[in-house]
Amino acid sequence: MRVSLALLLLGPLAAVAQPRHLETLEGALSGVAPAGEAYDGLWTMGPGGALRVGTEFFGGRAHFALHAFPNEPTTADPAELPEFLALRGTVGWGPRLGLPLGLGLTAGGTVGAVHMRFDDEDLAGNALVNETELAAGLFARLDVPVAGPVHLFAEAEVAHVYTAVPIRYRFVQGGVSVSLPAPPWLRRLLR
Amino acid sequence: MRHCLALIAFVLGVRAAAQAPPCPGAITVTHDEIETSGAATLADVLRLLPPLRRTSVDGFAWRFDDGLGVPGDAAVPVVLVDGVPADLWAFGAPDLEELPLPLPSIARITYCPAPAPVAGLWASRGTLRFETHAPEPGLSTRGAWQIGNETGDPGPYRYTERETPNVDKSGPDVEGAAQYEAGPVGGVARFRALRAYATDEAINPRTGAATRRGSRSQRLITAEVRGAVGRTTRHALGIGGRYVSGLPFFEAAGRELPLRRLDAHLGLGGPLVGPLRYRLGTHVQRADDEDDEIVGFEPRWRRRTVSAALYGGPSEADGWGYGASLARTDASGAGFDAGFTLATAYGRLAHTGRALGTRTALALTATGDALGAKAVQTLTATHGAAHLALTLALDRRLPEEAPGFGSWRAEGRTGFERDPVDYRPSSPTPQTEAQARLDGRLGLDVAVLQGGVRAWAARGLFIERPAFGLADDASTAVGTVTAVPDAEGGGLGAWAEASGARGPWRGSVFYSLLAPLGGSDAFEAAWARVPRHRAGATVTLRPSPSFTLHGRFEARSVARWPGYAAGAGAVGPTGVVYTDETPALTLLDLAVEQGLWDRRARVSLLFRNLLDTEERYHPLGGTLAFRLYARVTVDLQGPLWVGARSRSSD
Repeated sequence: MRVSLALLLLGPLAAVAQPRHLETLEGALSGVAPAGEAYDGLWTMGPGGALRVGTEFFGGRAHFALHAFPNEPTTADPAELPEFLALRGTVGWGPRLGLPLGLGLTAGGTVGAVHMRFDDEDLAGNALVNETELAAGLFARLDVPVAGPVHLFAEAEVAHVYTAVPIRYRFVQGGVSVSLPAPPWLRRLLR
Repeated sequence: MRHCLALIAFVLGVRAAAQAPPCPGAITVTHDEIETSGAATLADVLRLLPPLRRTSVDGFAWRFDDGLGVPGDAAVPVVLVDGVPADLWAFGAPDLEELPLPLPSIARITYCPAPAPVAGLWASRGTLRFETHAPEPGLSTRGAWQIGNETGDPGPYRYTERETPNVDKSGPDVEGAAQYEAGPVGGVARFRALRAYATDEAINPRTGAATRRGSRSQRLITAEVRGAVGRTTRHALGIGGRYVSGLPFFEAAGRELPLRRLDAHLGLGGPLVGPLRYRLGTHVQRADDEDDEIVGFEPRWRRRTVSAALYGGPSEADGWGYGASLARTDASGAGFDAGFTLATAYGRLAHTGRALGTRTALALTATGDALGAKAVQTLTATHGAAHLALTLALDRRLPEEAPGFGSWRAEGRTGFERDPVDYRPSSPTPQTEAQARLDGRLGLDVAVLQGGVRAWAARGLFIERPAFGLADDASTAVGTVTAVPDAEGGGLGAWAEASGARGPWRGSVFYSLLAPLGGSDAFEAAWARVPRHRAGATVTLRPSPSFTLHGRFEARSVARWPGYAAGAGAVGPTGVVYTDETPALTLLDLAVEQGLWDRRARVSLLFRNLLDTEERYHPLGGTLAFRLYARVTVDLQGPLWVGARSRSSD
């Protein structure tokens, strides 16, 4: 609930601050590593990859991101605990703070869904084998200019998944991003 | 009254511009307000009308009323779509979602609270008027797709000892309308298809034992095609139907029942001579069991209604008006065959001057040898943007005007009761009701204030009074339901709303009160179910035409359900603890909307119950947790499908 309340407070902030809007389109690729564990020792999260597309939006940066990571059971018996792939889709927004040397710090909130894809038809019988649940999180990202539109970035994120037994994910990631002028069609589309 | 209003207006600095309300005490919701409110269903729109209350057992089917009479009464405001009455009758519990009316196609909703004649009928509880967008030349299409999910899914823990029941899912829902207009000919096709998996742990034990279906999904498909011909006034033909596969909760059975219902309707209406208009219609309804697991369950139901009406008059606000209708209803089921003919005739006289107006309406209803009568007198005063309406109404209503389940049960209709519940029927009698109400609206420079006060008293109220405990598995009600045909009582209702706008900000605060003023035991027990207080506030921020944030807070007081007292504290098979009350609500909702392509399309995220409080409306009902809807709306119209924003001025 704390995460959702933080997101609620971010909303009006997002809308009233507004120097730049839809000027550039940023694409980013990153490797994501879990920090800590999230399933009370039942599964371990593996490293994954993420793809992010973002733009300036009402005084900050908005993005859409996809993140995939495997989850291995800690027990050796797959009949007890199957492995699953988690696919996380999020939209996020946060204001960007300019720092010396061209560095930038962006911090804000995300909301989206986690899709847990099991591959265990024998186990589940006629039941649904996949689950999707709402997730909300907070992130902080530091980006460093490398050459022209290319940046390197590092990010830390915490995400709360609203399952019956709540899941708390913590991730760190690093990658490269490229910013290009937003195409006119995108500005028209979002106008 | 006019001088008082002028004095109030002078002190408060009333805005000079004024537009007369469409009816006394009218509350209007615009297309823009519906869009920004984050409404996902038609029942959600009711949240924008403070005097109306809505309740649900499972969060899928919602019923509503105006707080008069008996809670759960079959008498509700008459629903009109572009002036045509809609037959939403389903065992006395009308569900707005069955209207074939996609949300994007609604231009305006007006709630007229005062009793009044309309389209050949008498609306004892006022009218709820839906208006669709005025037809424009060429093709226009509007539609939406959405999906919702309640938080609390098992997630990977489904495979462990911490396994929990699955949780509610809503959708995917689809709704759409296509309209074509060419000179004197026009047509529209509209549909809605809704689906929900109500699997709450309080409901699951009952529904799981009621049906063979592995998936306890509920579906609602409703569609209609209308064609109109004419240059100024038009003849319109409409044909439609709906299919409902659901698990509705029947208090007479103390549980959900697996029903499949089919409705088909045909209507024709238009001008006859001068201001005289006609309306012809027929409605056929069939209900059967669906994959039931209940021994001896025989809910077969057939209902056929044929109606004809003549009515006319220059306008509701001025001059003479008149109308008459005849409706024949026949119903049959297992070992049951009954019917009645209801005749209605009315006359009204209205005069609206520059500052003062009056409306008088008298009506008679008849069925067999019983006669009903109605009289309404309204005085209105207008000064600038201030309106005040005082309404006095007397109504002797026949049971056939709003038959509920109990009315048909008294005629011999059985099939819904189950052995654990002993239903004790009685024949309803004519009900006499007196009502006084004062409604007003004041437009100030920075805000609009509106509100109303009403008091009413009635005799001959028909109340179905449960006395339930819970069965061995502590999920299904056992006990009695006693029909009381002669209850009496009275109540008081009041509501107020202040709304305003400044720059990109818009906001409102509202409050509504419903309180009984005493009555017979059955009346007191029924009214204990009604939360007395409801209050809330909304804030909308639109920093650009394409982006909107809308927050809504609503609080509602606790309510007791005396008929469920014997089951309080029982623990169900899933561990849920049943109570004999519905908790106080504190709901926080948030809607985020981004327009695309000049608002021809909109993408919305709708967060409901963000605080994850216990949102529950019935002692045996589900709890609606924090949930999210994702919604995409498309609005294309005109010969070249010009941008929606440019003409969406309302």
